[in-house]
Amino acid sequence: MPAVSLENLCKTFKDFFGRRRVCALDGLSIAIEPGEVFGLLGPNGSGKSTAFKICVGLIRPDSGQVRIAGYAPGSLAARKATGYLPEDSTLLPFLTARETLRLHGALSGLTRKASVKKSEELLERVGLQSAAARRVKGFSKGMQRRLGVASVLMGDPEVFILDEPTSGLDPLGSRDMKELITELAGKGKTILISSHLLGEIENVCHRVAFLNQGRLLKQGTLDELLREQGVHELRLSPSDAAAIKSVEEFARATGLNIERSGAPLKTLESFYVSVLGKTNQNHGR
Amino acid sequence: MLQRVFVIFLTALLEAARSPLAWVGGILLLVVIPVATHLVGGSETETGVRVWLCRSLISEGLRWLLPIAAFTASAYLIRPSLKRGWAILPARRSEWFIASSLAVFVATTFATVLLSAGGAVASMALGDASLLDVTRLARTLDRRGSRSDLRASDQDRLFVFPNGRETLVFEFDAEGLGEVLRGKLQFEIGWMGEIAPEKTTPLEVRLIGDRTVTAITHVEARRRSTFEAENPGGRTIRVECRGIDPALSVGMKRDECRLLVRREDALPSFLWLALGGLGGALLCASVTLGVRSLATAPTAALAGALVFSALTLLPALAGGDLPARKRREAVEGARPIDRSTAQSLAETLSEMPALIEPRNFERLMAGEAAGSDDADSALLRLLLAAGLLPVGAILFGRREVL
Repeated sequence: MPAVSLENLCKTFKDFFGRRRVCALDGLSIAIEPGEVFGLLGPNGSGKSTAFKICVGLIRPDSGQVRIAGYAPGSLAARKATGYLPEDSTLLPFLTARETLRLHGALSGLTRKASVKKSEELLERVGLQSAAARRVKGFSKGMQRRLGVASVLMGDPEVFILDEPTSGLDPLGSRDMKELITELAGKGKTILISSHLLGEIENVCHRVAFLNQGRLLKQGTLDELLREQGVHELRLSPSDAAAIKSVEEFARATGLNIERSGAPLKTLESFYVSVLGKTNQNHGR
Repeated sequence: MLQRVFVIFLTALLEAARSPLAWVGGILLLVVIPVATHLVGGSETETGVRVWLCRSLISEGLRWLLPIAAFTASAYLIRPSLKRGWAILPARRSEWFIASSLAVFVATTFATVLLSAGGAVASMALGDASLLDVTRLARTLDRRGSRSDLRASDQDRLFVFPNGRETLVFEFDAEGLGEVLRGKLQFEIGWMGEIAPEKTTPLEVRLIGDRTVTAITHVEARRRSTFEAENPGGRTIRVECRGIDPALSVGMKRDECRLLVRREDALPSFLWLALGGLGGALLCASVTLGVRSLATAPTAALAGALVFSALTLLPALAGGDLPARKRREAVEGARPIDRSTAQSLAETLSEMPALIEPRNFERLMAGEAAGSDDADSALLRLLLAAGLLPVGAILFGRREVL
């Protein structure tokens, strides 16, 4: 049984007089298996947030069926099985980080003792232990995002719905988030993500789907969608110039066309992480 | 579910308590009456003005400002709590609504207590001058006269025509009363329409016991007088009120003629008034919250304002000649006067219950101790306010959050 199942989902937003204005979803069907990380991609207004809100019961579909861990969205069982991180911060500004997590723990049905223990663990996990007694109002956007993620983790849900989870995070925070997502997937959790940063989706998702104007354009594993046909990439190390030259000559002699040859560039993110990562970790950020 | 509602409720209170706005507002509520009364002069001759100001502020604050503040705050301040709540999935949106609304109720109650406490402090600072009269109610009220078998259509209120023969007679237990009796009268006046009023007070008052004494009356306000006379003796004392202004018919209820017994501190009265004001304020707040569950803050505030103004103004909508017309129709057997639709509607609406029962507030303004007479209706309003919350919760739970 899929952990998240969307079948032929349609949603049209109407104006005050009941006239149809925007078709946000048009026959969207997705099935996400347990332990899978699924990315939902598309431009602004493509229907990603609408699909998420339907999954968590904030919006009702006009037609189609949704099941979250086998339950109808909005039901208490589905709500307990789901952790939702909306795009905008929904944290209470005058609570401290610790109080915020304990509130989520209490609402998730944890005992006081379990809530205290888990909140301390999660504060440590998201790097906010030094700010645990500070009020959320004074947090940066990145800190609020990390606290939001920790809040979602308090209830230990089966399904995570993360709307732009790295929004507002610095590259180190983004990397931590991606590690966390991978770790959760390793524990068998199902994760549904949307993001405008395609590189992030690419790094963590098993499967992705492309939406535009409420319609599903394409879906599949990254391997299915991204593998270029008729091209082969060969990476060599260490870079011995003479050896590389002989490999290139051999390739040409056998009729192969070399499109690019040279030292590969690091991504800016990986460079940032290599320069700042260790320092910030030592300072507890 | 109850546990989740309780947790959210406590969190909402904690959030409100930590808001700087709450502290500023709380301090202002507490000090506004003491400071205002203190600022109005300091000489002995101005004590009466300060007492009056103190009573006015507590009365008008609870009667007008509190409901207005309650529905305005309900419309505009609840959104952050609800918006932040709807993404926290284990809890339902309806639970956030109920818990946040209950927090609004508690905050309103707290504001009421602070305002009343400020009034009590100001009152205590004024010493004996601020003491209120404790009154005794009449055991019975009868209308006597040439056609005493006929009653007005308003069964609670009896009317007398100024023909010299009809009287309203209040009977009091005389036990424990002093040598000099003082009392207060409150009445409705119906203009007869033929001529203009002639007298400063439309009533002549006589006290009947072992002997009969004519009381001296003083006009306090348009519909309020005091009287004073020697104790006529006897185990019961009857207060006889006779209409003397040829232009006015006068109507009174049993509790509108009272003998003064002793004087007491104003604090208990403030608490009864606070209960009345709180009932009205929470009813307004509850309606506003219900509308807010489906609509925008300005729409919800408008709904609160409509409820407030309707239940405050409509009961006073009928013209001043309504008692006289009722009297003519019921007592004299006159044919009902043809009324326009608007007049009929105004009469119907004027019979609507008021948002806050005015009786205790009027008593305080007259320097009388307020009692528990209106506690039932205040509690009824509180229950109604609480009963409306589940409706709002269901509506909010079904609302789509775009």
